[in-house]
Amino acid sequence: MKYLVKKVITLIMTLFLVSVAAFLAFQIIPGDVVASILGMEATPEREEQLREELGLNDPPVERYFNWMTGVLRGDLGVSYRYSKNMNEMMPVAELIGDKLPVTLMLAFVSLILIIVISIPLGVWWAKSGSHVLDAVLGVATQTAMAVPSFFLGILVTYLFGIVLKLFTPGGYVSYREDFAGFLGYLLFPALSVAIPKIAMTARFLRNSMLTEFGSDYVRTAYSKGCSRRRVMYRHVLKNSMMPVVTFLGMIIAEIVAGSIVVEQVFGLPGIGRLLISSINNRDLPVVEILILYITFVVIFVYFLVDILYRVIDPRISEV
Amino acid sequence: MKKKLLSLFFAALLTMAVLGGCGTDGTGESSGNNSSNDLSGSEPAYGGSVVVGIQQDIDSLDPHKATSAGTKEILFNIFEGLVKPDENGNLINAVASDHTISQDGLVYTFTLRDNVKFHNGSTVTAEDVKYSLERVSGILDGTALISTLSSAKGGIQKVDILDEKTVQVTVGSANTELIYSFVAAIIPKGSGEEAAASPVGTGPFSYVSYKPQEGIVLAKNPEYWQAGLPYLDEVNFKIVGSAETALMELQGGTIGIYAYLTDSQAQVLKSGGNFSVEASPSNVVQALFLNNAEKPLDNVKVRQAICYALDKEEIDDFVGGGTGAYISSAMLPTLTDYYVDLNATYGNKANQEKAKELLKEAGYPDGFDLTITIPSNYEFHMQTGQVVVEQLKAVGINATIQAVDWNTWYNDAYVGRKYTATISGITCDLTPGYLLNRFQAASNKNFINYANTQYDELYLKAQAELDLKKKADYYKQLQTLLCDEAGTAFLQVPANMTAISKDLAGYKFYPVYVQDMSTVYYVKK
Repeated sequence: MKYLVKKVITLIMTLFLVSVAAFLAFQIIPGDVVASILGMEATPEREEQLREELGLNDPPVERYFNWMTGVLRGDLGVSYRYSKNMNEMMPVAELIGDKLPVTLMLAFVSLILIIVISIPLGVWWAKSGSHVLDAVLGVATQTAMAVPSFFLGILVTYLFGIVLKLFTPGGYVSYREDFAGFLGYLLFPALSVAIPKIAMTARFLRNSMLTEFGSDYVRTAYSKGCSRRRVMYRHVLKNSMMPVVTFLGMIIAEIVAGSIVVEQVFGLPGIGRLLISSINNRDLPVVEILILYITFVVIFVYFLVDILYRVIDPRISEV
Repeated sequence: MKKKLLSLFFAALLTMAVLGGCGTDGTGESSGNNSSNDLSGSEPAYGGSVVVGIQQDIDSLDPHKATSAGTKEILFNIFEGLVKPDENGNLINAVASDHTISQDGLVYTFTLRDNVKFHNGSTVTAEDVKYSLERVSGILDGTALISTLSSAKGGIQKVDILDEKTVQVTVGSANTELIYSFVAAIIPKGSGEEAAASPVGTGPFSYVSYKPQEGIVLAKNPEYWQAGLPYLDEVNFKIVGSAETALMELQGGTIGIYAYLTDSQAQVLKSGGNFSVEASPSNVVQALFLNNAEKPLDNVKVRQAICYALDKEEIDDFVGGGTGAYISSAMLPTLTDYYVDLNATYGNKANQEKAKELLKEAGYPDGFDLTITIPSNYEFHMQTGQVVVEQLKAVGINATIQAVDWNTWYNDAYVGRKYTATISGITCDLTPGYLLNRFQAASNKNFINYANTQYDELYLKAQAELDLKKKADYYKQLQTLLCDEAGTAFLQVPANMTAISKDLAGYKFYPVYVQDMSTVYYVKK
């Protein structure tokens, strides 16, 4: 219980500090949203008019506190840049609410791909003991890890989209209209996010398993008369999963970061694309909420990993 | 930044290598005189819908408040003014069927066209015209929305309805270029408040829906006054994620028209076969802008040396595949009546001897350090920067590129004028004096800090001149002055590279940013 309270307090403090940092950053970097909206041909009068409309002329501290009290009351504010119907500004909650499912599904599908492919691959690799396979997989995974997801996205688009015509590049279908079509399209960006992570996880699992193979308990298990199969899956794999779970937890944070880039390549209207354009547009209310959200996800996932540890290895909670 | 550039480069290289087999000739033939992509013998079919790729989000759907070029090129399809531009850069009558301007240039009389209908079904009346003009000029509520028409600045003073079909506009000062401002949209009387939420105009297409970051959908206006237009039932302007994804989406078939290809993308698409790629002159003047108030650029000889050091041909070959038009002053070559070719002054090729000599005379025999600030979202300007740096190094000027994001550039360099040199583009509308206007010492757009009383006096004379021939003469003198004094190092008017699906025809190229979809049609098979 004490543990939980401590975690929650840390979470709140971190979120607060992150929001202040983002706000300060926006005070320092040059330019404001008005320039982004109106472009180079704007007249100073029109710029001033818009600045007044958006409330940008209020003192910064006042703006921050207004925003924060709003957030505490559950009101996430309105975007500076996007309007709902061009007359009233778009509420941030609505703007993000529309795009969040896309990013969450992308992360989810990527994670499923990673788990489903990397674990069997890692186990098979550790088991085989073939030097040729070692060399081939070693080079292949090393390469896959080295390629940035941006570039991988372009390769995937080219190979699956233009050569094999398995999907239409840019032909994103909204999840509201056709969920199956949406998933089908999402598979390819997810693949671009997943490939480097699959390589990492598989290598990690293999190394972890090879280390465990040398342990005393493995010898004991064999001498007890366990089959190789049983040793493999009941003992070694279970113990090897500990570091892999930590690793997967860390990967989730990276998937969020990776999807930001990949969304650009595949034209997915998710929060990654929104974040980048909002930073370029100096759309502070949107950026604040997105940063808070990402921070929250990362901390929350680490928290879950922590809990999962205790489930896999009961010794931790005793300490 | 470097990393990103590199990966972009490799990406482009890879797609090019795989698709084109590296066999592209790289010349990029220009079709400057061809103002539409009519395929000979192609028969237009009515109906169908087209997805047009656009780069920027909309800034406002209120036609009087919309400011960015990316928004105006779309609104062109929804709204019309009393007059509107055609593909040759001339004004044609739109909501008005005729107009006359009094001898003294102070009274404009517009005759309204019969039976022009708004998208809401009502017929355009003189009341609607009066309301629209009073709204943009600030007579209505004190805030002028279009500064050239502003009643406070000598624009529209009063609008009188002479009869049902005739509207008379009185302006404060004579200006032969004011007629270009009457492209201001005509909207229904009293609709200003809702103009942004539910835009209603008289254009060939009516507004259907808008989604932030996704795009805007328009539908055919069946009652459009130009008989037989438009052909398409629906046009979807879709915001593409980035220039790279645009290419993928073209190849994948999700977008049918895209007007912002880079040279390498154009080469890739040309070899693909599904698109025709056309180059047409843009309305952007690209230059290495020099801050006249910064040392050592405050010395005219230094600025001239830079002009001599630059090789316009090399730059254009590298970034535009040879499709740009070289310029040496602030006028679009497409405005033929006003343009004077001054490229002989510094030459299209580099003259390094002359540049070094001038530097020596100016007291910089060993050159100097020069920082060139460039908005990094413009791949085109970034690439130009790389060539310019090398050319300046050849005469001893040690130039470096400082890449900044657009907002920083706008705020610090353009508005704040805190920069030494920058590569960027300035856009022009159809008003011939538009670009020259900003180089007056007092202009708030004079971000190069050019200060020359002779220029200012000449500009005022040109402004007041009612005789178009004399006016053109003044403009030519202004261009010459700006060029001789090397106010800034002008480079080129880049070509717009547009990809159009081979299923489509009738796309017209305008000398201003306009995507006219009314004449586009599917070719009958």
